[in-house]
Amino acid sequence: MIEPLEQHGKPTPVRRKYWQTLGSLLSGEILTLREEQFFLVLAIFIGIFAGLAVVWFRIAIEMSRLLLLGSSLRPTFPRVVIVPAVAGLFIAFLVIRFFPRARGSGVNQTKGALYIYDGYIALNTVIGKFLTSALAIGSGQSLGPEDPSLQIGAGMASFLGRKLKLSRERLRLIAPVGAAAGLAAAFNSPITAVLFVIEEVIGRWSAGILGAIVLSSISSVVVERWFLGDAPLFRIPQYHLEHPAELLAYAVLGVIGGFASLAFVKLVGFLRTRARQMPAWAHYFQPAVAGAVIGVIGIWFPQVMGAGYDYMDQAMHGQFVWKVLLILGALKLIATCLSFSSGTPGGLFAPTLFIGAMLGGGVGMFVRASFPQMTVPVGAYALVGMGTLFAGILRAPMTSVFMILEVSGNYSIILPVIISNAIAYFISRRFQKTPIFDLLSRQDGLDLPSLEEERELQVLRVEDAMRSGDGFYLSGFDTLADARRSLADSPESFFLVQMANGNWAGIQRSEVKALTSDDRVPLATVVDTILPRLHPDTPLDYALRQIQDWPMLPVVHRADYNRLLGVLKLDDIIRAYRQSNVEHAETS
Amino acid sequence: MVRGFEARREQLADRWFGRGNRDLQAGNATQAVNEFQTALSYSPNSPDYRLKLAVALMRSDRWEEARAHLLSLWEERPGDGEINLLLARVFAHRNLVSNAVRYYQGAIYGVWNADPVHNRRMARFELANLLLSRGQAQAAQSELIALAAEPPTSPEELFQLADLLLRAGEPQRALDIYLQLRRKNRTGAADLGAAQACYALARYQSAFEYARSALRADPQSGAAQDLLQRSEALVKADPRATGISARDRMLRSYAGYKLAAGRLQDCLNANPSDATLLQLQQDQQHDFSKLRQNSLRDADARENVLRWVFHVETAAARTCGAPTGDDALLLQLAQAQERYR
Repeated sequence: MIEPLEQHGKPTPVRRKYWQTLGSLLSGEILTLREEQFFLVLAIFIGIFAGLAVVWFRIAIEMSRLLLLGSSLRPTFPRVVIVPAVAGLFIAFLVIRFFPRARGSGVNQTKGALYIYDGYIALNTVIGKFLTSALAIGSGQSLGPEDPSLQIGAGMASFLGRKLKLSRERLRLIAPVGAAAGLAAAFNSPITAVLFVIEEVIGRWSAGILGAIVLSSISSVVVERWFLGDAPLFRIPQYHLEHPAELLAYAVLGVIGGFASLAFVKLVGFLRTRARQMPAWAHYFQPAVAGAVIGVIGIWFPQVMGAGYDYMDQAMHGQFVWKVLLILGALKLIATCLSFSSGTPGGLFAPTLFIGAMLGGGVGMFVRASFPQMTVPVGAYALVGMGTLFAGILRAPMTSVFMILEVSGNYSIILPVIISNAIAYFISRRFQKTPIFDLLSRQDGLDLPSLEEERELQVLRVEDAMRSGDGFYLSGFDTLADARRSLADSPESFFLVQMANGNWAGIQRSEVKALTSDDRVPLATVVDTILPRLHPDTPLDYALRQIQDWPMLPVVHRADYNRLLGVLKLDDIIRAYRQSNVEHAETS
Repeated sequence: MVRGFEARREQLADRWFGRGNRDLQAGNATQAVNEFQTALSYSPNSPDYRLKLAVALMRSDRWEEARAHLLSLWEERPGDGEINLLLARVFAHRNLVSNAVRYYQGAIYGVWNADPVHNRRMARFELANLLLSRGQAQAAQSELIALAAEPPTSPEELFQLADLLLRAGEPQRALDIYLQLRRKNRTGAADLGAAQACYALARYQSAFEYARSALRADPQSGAAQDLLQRSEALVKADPRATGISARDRMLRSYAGYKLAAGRLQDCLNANPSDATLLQLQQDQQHDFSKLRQNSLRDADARENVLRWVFHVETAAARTCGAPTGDDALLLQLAQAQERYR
């Protein structure tokens, strides 16, 4: 029988319980989310908003280009020179007077938010980045939209996080979540975005942040494809390794790409330093000068203007002869260095891929012309070239490999990619110790952590610090009398006691002497504090947290806790870190 | 706003595509390439734009670039007849015959949006032409026979078919088509074609008559003149020609015998140890040592002599090289007899 809600004009117990339940719901008592879960849900919304922002950003770039340079891929003279120059003046004015933090690519600015500013990116910066980058790329400056999209996404995430009053820790992490969303939408590649943010912005893998980054990337890509379609940025030709000798050619591409990367980074470092040393008034004209020079180049080679995705597609379809490809690669390198060093807001992703596509295509065409018996797929060389320059310039090796796999959807290309990328990365690393993002941050006076250095830091483990356990332990089955006899022969003041079930306890020499129990009782009965166990492969960082005030900890075998492999003291840990620092300083 | 942006891009793509089409039709392929590329930048997924770009690239002599575009289109639509046909042309241009044949087959059996019968026929024509130009007459024959099974209706295509059949070594089928064309519209071209087909079939009398008819229609025709002369010479030299008197038959046979004997002697002088020639000389001494002109009134005797004459000419051509003059005529008659015995 269903109980009524009212009886004789008064609410029944059922009705009273109904309102109580509703009140609990509204007050969040029943549906309270833990902050971690809320963070994940928020990541989805960040992805949606970042995706929308990137859609608008791409439209803004396109509209700028149509308005300023016209619809032709080959703008006419003198428009091709005047437009980038005048736009450069306007951009410089906006950046210097209103949006100073919009300068640069956006990657270091996002890292700065994470490591220095507690996740804070001003909304003003986001707006400034949007406007100035769209104008810069649309007017023909040789820059890309991906890095600004990364910063725009990070900025929107920061804004949302502040409005929702997230904790300081979560606010710090929300910027990379938005960054991944922005990059994923701009590049239409969620996996690449996730890997890049982890490799270059955060520098670590943890389940919580990884989950949020993945969710935001996916949701932003869904939004971007909903509005702009799922057409790839460029069409990738099919690839099959026809002959193992081709791998040699890819190795050569790696060498060329490595040195090209080196030239790029050195030139950016040099030009940027010189540009910043100029008087303040000169900074207003630097983007205009860069724009004018690019415009002059654009009279003959309009391909170097803007992001250049159309021409990467053409390079992949063998539309240029090898000499033209190499010329385009060289000119794009110079143009990008000029644009970026002048302080024009914009990214390095697209120009890096462009240079790589041209160099790769050039090598491919040259190999085809020189060895006609080898049916060389030029598009594959262009594709591998993109990854090669990405690895050499941006120094994100893992991202560079997976990026190529993601955009090509073809796993047979992985071998050439790895070979070429590894060689380029090695050359770049050998002759340019500081990666480009670290170089730029130091020029800006920011001491951001070098994630490349962190990756390459040796992870110290317990086995690197522990010492032999001989003379440091007693058996719990020994009697007190036996224990006192053992102590007499040892100079140590603290001893481990092997207990039952693989446990280990500790006892001071003074405690043993002070015990008044019967000498025949087992030692195990008079000790009660069980020590934490360590293993040889345990990171030393973890051991440092465990050791606390203990004089030493046991290091035991993972399959047999009774088997003591060594002991670890705090002195051992400190000595190991010191030794590692010395070795690192010697090799760097 | 996004929809407006997309609509604007489509509009620009259409505009540039239209310009490209106009320039392509005007023969300005290089400019058309730039315009199609611009159209593609606004509508990158359009297969029609990519196809037209490939056509413009081919006409600009940029075959490799066209191939790259066409291959990526083919991967998306492997059954499309037009894509297969264009790819076949690219590979034919690069002299990669097996690849070209494969894509021509794809065009013949592929899907065509407009006028499939005509397009498939044209693909077969091109394929047959390619095979003949590469010396693969037998492969070409099967394509041409398939074409002949469903022949075209236009005179131009019928002429083309007959010409190809003749080149492919199917003179009888070619003759049938030429005669069909003569019945519909008696032209010098049809007569000339019929003459050539009859000549290939060793019907020299008919070839002579058709060649004469072709020359009447076009007195300037060098091909008709040449064919007329050759067929006339053969008709006059042929001892087995129809409509000649017994005396003429005898005289021609004896003349042929004398000619062949002289040829045999000359060839033996140059190659005294050739076994075939020695055998033929022995046969001559054994069978024809007392041969007189009048002996050849008898049909059997004449046939024996003619058989010997044709053997001599064939063996001498093998051993001493191609003959000239009247010896060449005798050799041709011998080969025709061998082919159509």
